[in-house]
Order: sequence, then structure tokens, then C-alpha cells
Amino acid sequence: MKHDRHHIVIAGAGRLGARLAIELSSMGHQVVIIDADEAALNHLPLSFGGVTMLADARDLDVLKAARLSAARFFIAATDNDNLNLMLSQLARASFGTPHVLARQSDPARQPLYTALGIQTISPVSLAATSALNALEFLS
Amino acid sequence: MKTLIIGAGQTPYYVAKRLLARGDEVRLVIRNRVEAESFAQRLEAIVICGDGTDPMLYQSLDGWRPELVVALTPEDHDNLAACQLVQVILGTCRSIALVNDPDKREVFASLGVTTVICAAQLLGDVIEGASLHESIIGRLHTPNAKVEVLEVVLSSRSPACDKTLSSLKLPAEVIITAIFRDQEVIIPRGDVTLSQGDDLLLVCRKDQRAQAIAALVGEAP
Repeated sequence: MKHDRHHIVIAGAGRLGARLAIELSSMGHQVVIIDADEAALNHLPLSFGGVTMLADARDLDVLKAARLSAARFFIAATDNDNLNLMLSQLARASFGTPHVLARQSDPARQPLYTALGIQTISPVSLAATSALNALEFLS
Repeated sequence: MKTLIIGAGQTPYYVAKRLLARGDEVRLVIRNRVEAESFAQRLEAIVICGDGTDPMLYQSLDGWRPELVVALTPEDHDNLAACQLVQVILGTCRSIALVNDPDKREVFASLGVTTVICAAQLLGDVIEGASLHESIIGRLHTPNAKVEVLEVVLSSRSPACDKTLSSLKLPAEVIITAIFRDQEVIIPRGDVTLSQGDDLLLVCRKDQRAQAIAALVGEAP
């Protein structure tokens, strides 16, 4: 199937997932954000132009309904590292999503992601790097 | 075989117990402390309390290298991560994972899990078999969707009773692979006469199942 370069699926509407959904949507991308927790989806502003799905992203039928096979990007942004690792591999293996990104909270697990070829975003590593940069700047 | 079992609940305990009785070298990784302590007291095995998907945990193995990893936690993603992690950092080649969702069996296998076991699939197969005919007591899917394995018990009303195998009119692609009778296994040959209570193991093409069932045990009531 042809991948729509503007179609992006995000699993997990926590702070990172929701922020990415808002930014990407305002940049003109068609964003589908999935979370099984209604309260999390309610945090998205009314101005959010994408689609919200109240569902469990672990279910392949849910990912199908989110048209993941047509998406060019998939971001696994739940608060569970192992779940993100599985979802990003499902996206790649079962839906052929060209670009997948997994949120990872424990940097010690990086070697596994590297071995499996899954690109990660680690809020902890990023925050630590910026903190160190800020400290260097202050000194 | 050196086996590492990662899990929660009662299943890891009973799997470990059986493997230990066979003389295997078993280690367990159990997340819940109470369970880990209980298993350590009841099993002749090293039990590590921790998260089987945490790479740091494996430093405590002191060079012990399992040949097989078995992931039996309640969550599919934890089982996949555990199998992949052990394969990546310990170089273990064989893995077995429990999976809740039957739709993930194939993809887990493609992601490197050697054997994927799905209780919902196994139960569903047996329940479906039971609903097809009262005489079907076991049913198993095979890697080929067209073929299945059935376990069928002959009742007093079964048309195949007191007939020899060679006289049965079974469809071409149905094979009786074994007959269980009074705790014995009878290898099916043409001159074997079937009788009430015989437990037959069949390999059959699904589209010929109805014919096979009709010939062996009669139409469904």
C-alpha cells in the first residue's frame, strides 16, 4: 500500500504523545492518536485537528482502524517501554510502516533497541543532556 | 537443558518443577517478591526476584548461559521483550513465549520467538471442535490453515465400530495416525478392527472433515 507522508499514528496520549500530536497536526499532518484512557485523550485541546481513538493500541484491529498501513510514521509513546518496543515492531513487521519511533524511559535498555533497529526517543537522556548543557553554560 | 523461565503466577512454578524432575538446569526470574521467595523455597533452582526485561538483571547470572528462554508473564509485550533481550544479550537461540492475542502469533514468530503458545487459540480450537461434533474431544491447528489434527472417540452408535480400517470409506486426505485403546497405542493398519471407546488421532484436510466425521462417528445429532 502507498504510504501517505502526512498520515501519522501515535499510540499513547501522555504528555509526549499529546504534545507531538498537537505539534504535528498544527504542521498540517493527519494525526491519529490512540489511548485506552479517556482522561488522557481529554487533555488534548479542542483545537486539536487530528483524530482521537479511545482504544487499546495493542489490538491489531485498532491499529488497522487507525490506517497504520497507510501511515508513513508511527510513534509509540505510551508510558510502558516494553509496550512501545512491541508496538513499534508490530508497526514495522505487520503494517510495513517505514518510520517508527519508540519512547523509552530507561536508557539502560538502549542496546536492545539498537540491536532490533528501533529508533528511540528518551526523555530522560534528552533532559539529562540539556541539564548538562545548561550547567556548562552557567559555569 | 539449561532453561531460563521468566514469569508470574503459578505456570512458571509448575513448568520449572517438571523440568527439574527431568534433570534440567533451571533458573527463574520472578517479578513479585512473595512469589519469588515461595518458589525459591519449593524448588531446587535459583530464583531471581526482578524484571526479566531489565538488562541489568542479567549481570547477576555470572556467566550462566541458558540454551532456552521461556517467557510466561501475563503481558504479551513483556514476553516479547524478555525473549528478544535474552537472545540479544546472552545469545540464547531458542525461545518460547506465551501470547494472549492469537493475532500476534505469526508476528512474534517473525520477530524471532521460536515457539509462540496461545492459550486462547488452543482453547478456541478445542471448543470449536467440541461444537462441531460431540465425539471430537481434541483439535489442533497446524501451521498450514488447510489441515488440522482431530481427536475423536468412537461411541456405540459410531458406524465405524467393528469395521476394519481398510473397509472404511474415508476421504483421500484424511489419515488415522494413531488409535488409543485401554492405555495402549495401536498403529493403524488395514486389518485393525475399530471398536467402541477407541480414541482416534486424525490428520485431516478441513474441507474433508465433515465426510470423515460422518464415516467414523456418524452425523451430528
